[in-house]
Amino acid sequence: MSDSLRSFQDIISQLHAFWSKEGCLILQPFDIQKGAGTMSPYTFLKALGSQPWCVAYIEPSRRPTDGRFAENPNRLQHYFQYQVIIKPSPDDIQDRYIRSLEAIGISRKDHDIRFVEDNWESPTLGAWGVGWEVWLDGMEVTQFTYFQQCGGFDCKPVSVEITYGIERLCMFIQHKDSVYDLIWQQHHDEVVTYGDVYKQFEIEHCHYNFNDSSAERLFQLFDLYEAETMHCIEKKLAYPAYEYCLKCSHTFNLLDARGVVSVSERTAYILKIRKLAQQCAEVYLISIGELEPVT
Amino acid sequence: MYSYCLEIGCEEIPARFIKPLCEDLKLRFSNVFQEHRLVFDSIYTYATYRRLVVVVTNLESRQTDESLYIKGPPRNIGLNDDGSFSQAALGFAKKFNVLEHDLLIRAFQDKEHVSFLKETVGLDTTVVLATIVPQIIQSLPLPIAMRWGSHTESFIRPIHWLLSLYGKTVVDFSVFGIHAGNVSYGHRMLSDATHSLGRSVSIISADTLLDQLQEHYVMVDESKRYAMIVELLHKHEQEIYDKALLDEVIYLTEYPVLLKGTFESRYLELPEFVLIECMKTHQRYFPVFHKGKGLLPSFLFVADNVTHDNEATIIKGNQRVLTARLEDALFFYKKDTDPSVLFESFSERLKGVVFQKQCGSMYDKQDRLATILLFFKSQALIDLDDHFLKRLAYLSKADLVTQMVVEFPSLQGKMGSHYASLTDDNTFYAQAILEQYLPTGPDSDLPQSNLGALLALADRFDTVVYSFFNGAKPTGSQDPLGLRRAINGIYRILKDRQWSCDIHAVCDYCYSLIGSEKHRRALNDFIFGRFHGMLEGDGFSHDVADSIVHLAFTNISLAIEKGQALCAYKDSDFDQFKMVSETAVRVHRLAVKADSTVVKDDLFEHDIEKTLFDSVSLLLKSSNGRGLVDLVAISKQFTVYFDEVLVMVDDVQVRDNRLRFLAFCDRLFLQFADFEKIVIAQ
Repeated sequence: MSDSLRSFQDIISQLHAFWSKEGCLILQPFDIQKGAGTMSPYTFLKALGSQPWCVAYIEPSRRPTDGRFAENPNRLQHYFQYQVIIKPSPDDIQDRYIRSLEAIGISRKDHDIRFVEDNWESPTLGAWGVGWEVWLDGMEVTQFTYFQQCGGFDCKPVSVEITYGIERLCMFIQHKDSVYDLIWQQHHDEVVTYGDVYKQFEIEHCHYNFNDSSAERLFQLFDLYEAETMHCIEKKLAYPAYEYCLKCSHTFNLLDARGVVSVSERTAYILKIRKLAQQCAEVYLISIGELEPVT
Repeated sequence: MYSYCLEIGCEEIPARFIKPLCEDLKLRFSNVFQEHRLVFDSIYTYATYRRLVVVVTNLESRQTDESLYIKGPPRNIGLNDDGSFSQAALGFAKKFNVLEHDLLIRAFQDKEHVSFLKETVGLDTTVVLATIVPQIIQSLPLPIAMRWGSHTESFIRPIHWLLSLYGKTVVDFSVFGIHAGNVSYGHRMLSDATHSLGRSVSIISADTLLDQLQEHYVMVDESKRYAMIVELLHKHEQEIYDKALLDEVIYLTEYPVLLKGTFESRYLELPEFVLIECMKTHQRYFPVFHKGKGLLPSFLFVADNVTHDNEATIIKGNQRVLTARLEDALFFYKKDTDPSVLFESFSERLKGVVFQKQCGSMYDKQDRLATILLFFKSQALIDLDDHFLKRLAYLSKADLVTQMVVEFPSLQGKMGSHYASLTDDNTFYAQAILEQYLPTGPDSDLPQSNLGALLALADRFDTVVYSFFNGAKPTGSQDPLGLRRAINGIYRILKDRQWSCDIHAVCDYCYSLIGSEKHRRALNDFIFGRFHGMLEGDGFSHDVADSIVHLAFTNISLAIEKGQALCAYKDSDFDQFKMVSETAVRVHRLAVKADSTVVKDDLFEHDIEKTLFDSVSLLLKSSNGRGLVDLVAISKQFTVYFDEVLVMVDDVQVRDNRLRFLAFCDRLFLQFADFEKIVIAQ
């Protein structure tokens, strides 16, 4: 198959095939709106604790403020991340990653592949790690992170997280200047583009995110979701609690996009969500028997 | 005698950490080697993103022998009356496992002690190295330490190999589960296209590492990479280039090649600082300047994996990335500068941007900034037309809602300044809007213009007061609103401008705009603490900072001046300083009992009361030229005063008047310092 014919869905299935051979479970997306693949419980909760974990999955990610009414060829409020999580991080992970690029047609001898420092911190998750962004001829295509802390707890052993910006990679491979021109699938002469699937979706969500969402109701929803998270935490139900915590986070992002949260107030909201996420992590660790409950 | 070479092979080390790590390595090697009596000529360090290398030249093959006299009990305890060794001396011999006849008496500095000569034969260098090198590696201070896999130790990035050669001999040790050996690795991609660790290379000896790796596409010596890139920049007629960027870039490559890309000239419509931001900050590209003509539509960048076959692809890829960024920027810039939209009209949109809960919008904040600027005018900090000041306030935050700043938040202020300069002839606005965010950190630049400094102060006071009113006092390491930084900024600006600014009055004014006094005291304590810390940062000891911090609330540069005079006087004439200080403390302790400072001179009974009252009144009235020397004169008069006058007499009227008189005098002392706070060593 020539590179120009590699479709968006080919790339995903080839990455699935590659990581499957490397021993990863291939999981399905988690059904709650979230800002990044990291926020899936398959990463956030599973990076905690001592048990090995080795998965790959694709994750729809929502960044309401990044929407551009489909006018910008690179920015979307909804896009996909391809996420690999391996615990403990294997010694040859960089080499595996480079081989994964070769699996989708990006050969190390044809390009300048660099690992440039980019430490990752998620203030809302109380999580941080160190690592790099991977540059492919100057284009940032992947985030590579060794998790050090998650939900305020040390990660022991350390998980490594590889997050591919799947649209970016595909644009690189298909030589497209706009994400909407990406070939999602080609069957004989029939071509379906990314735009065919997502352009209208993008535009409508941008209208909603920036202009038409009800700020007042969203503020109320935030409070309700926060209360529900707390309720689940009290019941020691880590997964449900974390799901409502994700809803808080997304609701906050919507408010942020609506421009009704000030720069300084943002911090207060972020702190609130972090506190919730930390409590979820704590309840999770207790429920898997790796943390003594505080009585 | 051979060289010793250590190479720590890692995953990509962040560029900014490499130089300090090398300096630390060098220092530690030097100290530890000397401590362990290893003799050598020089220590060199080299580094790339994947390796830290130390080479120690002409290292002796054995530790030097050591002869050392060990100190025992002093002579009077170590010897019996008859000159024989005492029980204490024999105990000392036993402890060190030496015989009595090895003991001797020897002078140590001032005194004679029982002693013996301990002779240590030096060990083989390789034996010593095997112990100390791993210790050095593990003790390196790490700016960001990380763990990986199941390891419990941490390092800057995961370690993959250790090369440790003394001449041709492997100095064996292991850390992080890795055995040191004689194998190194070439360039990740260029040396071997099958495994990203690179080709493994058996290194012949400690002296051949650099040359052998050169053959495998690694220029280990960063100074060579630096020189090479500079030469190439010169070739492209770039005599002036960003040195900080180059310092970073040399550590992003092992085998640098400078490539040139271009972009369409229509992007040159963007302001230069936007183009440079897109190239440097995001992509680590060098912008290309044409002598005297500004930016050219091209860029230079350092690539690391360039071959004849892939060069064109790499250039094309980098051009695409930059073009996408510039396209973005131009799109937003054009929207912002649409001729039908005035820059000041953005201000209106700030009404939809919340500042803080219960504190209204950013537009409301601009309202307040306008009145605070006018308040500064009433405090004689500035003398400008009211309308002019108000307009500045209403332009100050307008860029926050421009597309460019929404997109590139780091351009806040810069963008506003640029847009203001496009729409307004007055360059003062542009500069002040730019400078309102200064200083950004403890070492960053300060506003250069008075207007910029005033706007910066107004903004910070408003934020701090509102945040306190909202109960957002920083606790522990948490300071999400940057309030500590804000107060430190106020301190630095006022100090730099040498303005006298009544902090209490400004805070009171800001609180009056809210119509509340909530947490007013806490704010005061907070500012007090920050100012105190800043004074200590300016070199004052804790107690002196204590004694002058109240002065900083009205004039910071003056407080510093007084503090310095105080310290100088304390050092040069301690006795007089002590007298002044004791007088001041005595006066102050009585003064606090007074109910006012209104003195009735007809109640004076002693001449000295009148004399002193006149002297102090005179000094309090004259606003300049007072020095500590005046306090000496006053203190001498007080010696007479306290000898002759009993303050706490039974007559209530007289007693109260004397206390008031002392409170009156106390003001003079407090203008210099709160002497009670100064610790006087006995």
